Amino acid sequence: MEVDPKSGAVHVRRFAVAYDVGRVVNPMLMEGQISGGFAQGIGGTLLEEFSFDSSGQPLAASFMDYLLPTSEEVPDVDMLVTEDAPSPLNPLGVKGAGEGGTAAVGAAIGNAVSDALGVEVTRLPLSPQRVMELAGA
Amino acid sequence: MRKVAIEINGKLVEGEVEPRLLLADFIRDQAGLTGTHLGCEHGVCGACTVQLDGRPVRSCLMFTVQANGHRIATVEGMAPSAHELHTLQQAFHESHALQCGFCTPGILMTMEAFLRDEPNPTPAAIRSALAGNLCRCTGYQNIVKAVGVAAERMRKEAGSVS
Amino acid sequence: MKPALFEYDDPATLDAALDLLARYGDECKVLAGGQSLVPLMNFRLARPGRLIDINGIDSLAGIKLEGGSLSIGAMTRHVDLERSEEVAHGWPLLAEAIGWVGHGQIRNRGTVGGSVAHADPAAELPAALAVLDAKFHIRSKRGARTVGWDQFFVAEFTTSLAPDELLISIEVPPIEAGTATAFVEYARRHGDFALGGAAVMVKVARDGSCEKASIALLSAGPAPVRARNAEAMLAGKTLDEAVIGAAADEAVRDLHPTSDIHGSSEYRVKLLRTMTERGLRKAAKRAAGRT
Repeated sequence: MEVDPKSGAVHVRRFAVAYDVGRVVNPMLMEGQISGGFAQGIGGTLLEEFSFDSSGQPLAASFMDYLLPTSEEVPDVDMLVTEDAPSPLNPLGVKGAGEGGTAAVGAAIGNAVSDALGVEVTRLPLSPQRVMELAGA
Repeated sequence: MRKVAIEINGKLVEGEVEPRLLLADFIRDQAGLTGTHLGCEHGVCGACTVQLDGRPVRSCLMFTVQANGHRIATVEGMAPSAHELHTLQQAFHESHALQCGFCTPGILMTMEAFLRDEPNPTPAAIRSALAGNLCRCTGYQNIVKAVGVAAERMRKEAGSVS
Repeated sequence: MKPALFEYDDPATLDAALDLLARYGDECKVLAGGQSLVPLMNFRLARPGRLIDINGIDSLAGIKLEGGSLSIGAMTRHVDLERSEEVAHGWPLLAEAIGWVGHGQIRNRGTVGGSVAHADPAAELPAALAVLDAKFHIRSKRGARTVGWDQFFVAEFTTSLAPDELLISIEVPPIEAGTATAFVEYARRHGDFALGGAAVMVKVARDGSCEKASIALLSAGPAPVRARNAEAMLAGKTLDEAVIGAAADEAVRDLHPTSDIHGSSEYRVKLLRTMTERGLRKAAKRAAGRT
């Protein structure tokens, strides 16, 4: 991941997800979930924000302002899916598999930005303005 | 009201419409082709993408009357027959490049035109050409892969024809 | 999110269009590519009572070379500007800027004239045209007039076009020998409106010093901003890091861009400084590469 402190841009170059799901029922769908979840994570970490003004009016009221990630903002994600710890609570040993793509993205990228800038990140999304403010701090 | 005659997927569709009727709504409601989807109606998501005279455009940003006398291609026109998918569609199916399918017709329309312009694209070029179509399900990874697979197959097909 | 009712005309000739504009004036809106107007109409933020659709007037589209200058018909689609070899060869700044405009689908319909007449402060073409000192040819039933870019762009979403006037074409003078250009921009996503950007042109003398510079900033104010003081600072100087940095500082000194949810005014000023610096650096490098 690279941070450009002079514009506030954050470029995610490589991302890996490791996920133990107990038992994979359909590997193709499983990976599709991780990939899609990762995109959602990128959105929440860098782009998507529900803003309101002081009287409670929504400011991000269209897709021009509420920003969803495009193909250019979501790199390929490396996936490691394991079945090392099947659930003892059902006959198949399956565990939840749909959310692993999303869950850690904010923390991972936030910590990477912290590492790059030497400043603690405690708030998402990391808009360019927030990144520049962190870099200046 | 205005009379229109628009060629859609090779067939002439006639109608009488208010000037404000969006092309997407004409395609869906009057031509009965509901493969073209409306995701935002303000020109951002790309789900409404069709081809106008061979070029991808956002059909939510055109009025039906503007397409009068022009050629429209929608996703329904892609498959060569009822028994066979277009190479792109087949690659999407095999590569799991669609989940809910809402964005897929728009992406197919964009990518079909893109591959005509660039039959041998790099993954980066595919990604860039895809940026005008939003997908919430797939994370784009398998879409880029599918387009690459389709491009290779289409180059082989073209090679074997000539 | 469907538009309100409107009356619709699609004149086949320029004269017919000018007749309609003379008759309906500010009760109507011109429809070109529709990529900016139709979203506003779908939201009902714009509710023109009448649309004059000029897409059928073929004479308004086209890219021509006239005596060394570039003439761009107002109805020229962005994609045709993008693919034009004459433009890529003679006015690479325009070719570079147009790639930043939206996405392919938008460029297939959107027009050069429509973009400049819409006058979005975040738009790429107005800034590029400001650097190139473009002239705008306008007509109405009352006659024809030509204005420079600085008289054309008045404020956000406002040009000096009168309600009965139509932009016909844009004339761009030839670029002098020894000149290099660069266009840089930062947007949150590929294809989004720029948070800040710079169009730069530098003419470099044989000894490597800068003879002349033009810098236009987008998303810096209500209209494209030419950084005249910064341009003056660069004359006669070698474009090294220190000189470029000082010019970038000067370029943003009196700017007060509007804050919004994507960036505060303070952030935008810092970004514009970065963009100016990078644009100058890029243009300087290209100029050096030529000698």
